[in-house]
Amino acid sequence: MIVKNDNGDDRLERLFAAARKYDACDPKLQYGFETRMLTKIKEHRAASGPFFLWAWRLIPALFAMVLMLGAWIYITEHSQPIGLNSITGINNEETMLVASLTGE
Amino acid sequence: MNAPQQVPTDERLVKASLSGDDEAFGELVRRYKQKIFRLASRFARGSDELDDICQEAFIKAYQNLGKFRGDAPFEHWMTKIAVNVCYDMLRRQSRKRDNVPWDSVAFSVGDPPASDTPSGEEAWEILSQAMNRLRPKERLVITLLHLEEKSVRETATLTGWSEANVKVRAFRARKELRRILEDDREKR
Repeated sequence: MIVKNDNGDDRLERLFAAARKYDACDPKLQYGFETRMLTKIKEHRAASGPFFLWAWRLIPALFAMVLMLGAWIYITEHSQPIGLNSITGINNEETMLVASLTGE
Repeated sequence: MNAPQQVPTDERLVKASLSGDDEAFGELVRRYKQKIFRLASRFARGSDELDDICQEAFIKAYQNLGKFRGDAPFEHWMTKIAVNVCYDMLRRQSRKRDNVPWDSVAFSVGDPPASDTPSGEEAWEILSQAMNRLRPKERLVITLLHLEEKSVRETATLTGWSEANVKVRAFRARKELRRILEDDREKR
């Protein structure tokens, strides 16, 4: 059986109602808050500024790296690979030539 | 005769701030600082923490001004940011508390009120100390619903939870808060 504790609920409601009327915030804290905020924002901007400047300066270098990487990929994909087959192919030709010359 | 100067809207101030006008953002801070301070004071443990929360909320707002779409009033957007900052602070406090040995934690929720209907300050002292022992989510939902008198829908929007979730968490939080207060009453 569920027993509802009305007393507890009532007490809680009274506490909530009384606490709502109370302003726990000291108004003195708000004096000059916007000025402090703007100072903080300017500091924040100044601190993050050099990073963005460097990031902008790095763009040409990064672009050059991307171009070089692209060129390297293009060259490696289009050049003739010296694979195992071609090496064994040369060896076979030499073996056949030696065999025909020696009459074996 | 001079025409009365028009008060710039929040949206106009946001645009001006985005284009580098710091004074415009200062005006937004001036407009909403009282509301944000009042909300944050329900979570902060002292004036230093209160100031920190408010500064963090406004700095986050400044950093994310570009994401403000204007489909909801600036006040709602700002309140949501402040609620997030308060919730993060509650979670940090909770993690710190978890690392404190149990025998060093004081569990008293203050002196009993002299009368059955306590004064605002007494009620706030009792409630805030009892709410310190709730989980961050429970404290958040109780504060928004019962102290800030937000509706379930508003609480859902501010927290990013579903309305059903808000109701369930509020029910559990209220039950837990009542238990804490009753336990403390029995101990006395």
